[in-house]
Amino acid sequence: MNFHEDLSAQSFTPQDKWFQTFKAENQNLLEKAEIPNRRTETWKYTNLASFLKEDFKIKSTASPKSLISDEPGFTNIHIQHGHLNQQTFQGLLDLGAECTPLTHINSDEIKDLLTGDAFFKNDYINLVNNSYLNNAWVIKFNKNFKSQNPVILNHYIGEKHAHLCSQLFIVLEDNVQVNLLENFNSQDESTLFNYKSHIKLAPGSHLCHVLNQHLGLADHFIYSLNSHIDRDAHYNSCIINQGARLSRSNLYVNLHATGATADVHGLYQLKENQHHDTMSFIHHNCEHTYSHQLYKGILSDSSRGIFTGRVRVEKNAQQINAEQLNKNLLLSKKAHTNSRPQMEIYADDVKCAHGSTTGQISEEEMFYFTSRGITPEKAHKMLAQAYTNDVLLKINNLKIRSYMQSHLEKMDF
Amino acid sequence: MLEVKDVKAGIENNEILKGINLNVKAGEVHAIMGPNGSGKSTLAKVIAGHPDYELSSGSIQYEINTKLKDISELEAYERAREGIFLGFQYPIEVPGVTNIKFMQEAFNASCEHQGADTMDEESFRHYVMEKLPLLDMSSEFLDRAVNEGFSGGEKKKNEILQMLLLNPRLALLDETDSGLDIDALKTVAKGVNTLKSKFNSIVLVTHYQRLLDYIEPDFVHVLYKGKIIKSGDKSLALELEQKGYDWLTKDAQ
Repeated sequence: MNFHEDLSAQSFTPQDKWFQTFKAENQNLLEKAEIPNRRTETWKYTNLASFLKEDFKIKSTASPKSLISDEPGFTNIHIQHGHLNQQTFQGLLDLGAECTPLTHINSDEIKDLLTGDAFFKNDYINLVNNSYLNNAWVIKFNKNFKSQNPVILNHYIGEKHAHLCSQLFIVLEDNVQVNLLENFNSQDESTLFNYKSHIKLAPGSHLCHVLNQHLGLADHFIYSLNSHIDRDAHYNSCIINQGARLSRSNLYVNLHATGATADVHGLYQLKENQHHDTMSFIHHNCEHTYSHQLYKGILSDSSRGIFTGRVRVEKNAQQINAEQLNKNLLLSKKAHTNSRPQMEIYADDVKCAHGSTTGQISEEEMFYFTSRGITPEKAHKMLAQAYTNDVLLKINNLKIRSYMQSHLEKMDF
Repeated sequence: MLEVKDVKAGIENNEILKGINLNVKAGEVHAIMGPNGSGKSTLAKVIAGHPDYELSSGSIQYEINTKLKDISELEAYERAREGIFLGFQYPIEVPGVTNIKFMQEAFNASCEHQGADTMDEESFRHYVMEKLPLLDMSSEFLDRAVNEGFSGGEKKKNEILQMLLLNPRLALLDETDSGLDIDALKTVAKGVNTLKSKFNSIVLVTHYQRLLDYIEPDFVHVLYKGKIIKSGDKSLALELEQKGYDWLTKDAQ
């Protein structure tokens, strides 16, 4: 098995020195790294090697296709196979955003952008992504920018047996407000999509960020989030995983300065033999920071959902508030869930709560619905949807929220 | 309309109904009374088709297309579509589903079954709004989650609202009066009386005679230990109010 090719075979466009160094460092680490297995604590419930039986090849070129139509009422950006170019961003440029290739960013600024990336330095998948990093882009919204229209990034992924690596930097300067929905679509050609977001929120900025992953059931999706939230900034995120044979989220949320708030919500809705694994780390690094996390799973057939949520409160982070809840709804006897909420608190004046529940649709609710003439199938669907709805209600942007509500209404349970 | 013949039923080998006979004709109002644990709620649930209860003998005949048919093999939703409605003693709270959506779904299911036109959200909302003043309900109830955070009285009014929207031929109301103050009781009774016609039948399961001051029954039955031990007209309810159940239950034992 081999999911990254010999690096010497790759040809890269000329880059800045820091970029070469950065990649060389990652390549060195990658050579020594082991594919995660059951002994790797952060991958305890997901045996990566057993999922990736196909011989994945890193792809750096891809034939452009345009299969996704524009959503009216949104600024639509289409991204093919994780590869980006200047044209892709035209809609954003029209809005007034700046889009710069990572290689054109100077080394001081890049240090700033990669703050927190050290968190991922031992993660194999991340090392692959960094080692093959070719053409990442930085989208920057300048001071006081406010977008009325939500932006949709439509990712289209469809290269047979390809391991596509991609990273995107999203930078909000002071007091910027942006609403962003990322859609992940595919043609179900057993692609492995290794995607990483770097989110940097400057003081007073607000980002509503929703990921809607509905890839084909032969695809694999590995998502990493490196987010950095500054003073009085608010990160309102929701990650929805419905597709892919294997989906994994590696989340790092750094609450860096007073007043920083993060909503790190999520939903995984699985069927057949789908497997989802969220590994979340919310880091309270400063006093008066706030985090809220509601993660819900709906598991049908013989699917499996795993949630590991760590919240770490540093010694100086007094008077913070952290809430975390993982809830799972099992719709079949063969469905399986593992839930590990974890808190690590070094401060002594904080408000923290965490919990986990697992249950089934209540028979009394079912009877209430059927006694009104609603078929058991429809009642089941309505009740499962109701279960997902309170996660969607956490999405602050109403347009994105109602888009997601109607998207999930079409789903089968 | 409804003929319950020698029905024995229970839950997991525990027989609760021990031979019930009940005959309800179109246009009639029946009250089922009796002490706690006598099987009143079970009877209502068995007729509505609750999946937990098994019929060990007897039959439940119900009029479908002017013919009496045994409905004991029909599922709850099929019985509901044929016009049987159960008003719950403890209406269930369902977070995440709005009241209006729930009612529209139920309404359209029955319409479809009966070959009538379904209603879209806007026209259904209009239809519901017309019924609200009758039950002293404000329109905000429509967009709240089903029964979530409703007071006891609001929950019962919500049951009656659903009943009026679905316009059932047979309404089984399980302790609809319990936990209501006098004003709410009057409102609920007004709602039930609106349904009353020569085409509809109503079976009230109640613990107290109080409700019967506002909804006049044609027949009163006393259920005790799974059997109807006495039937009479509305004067029986008044007698029970004065004397309690002891004089009847002693005889039964």
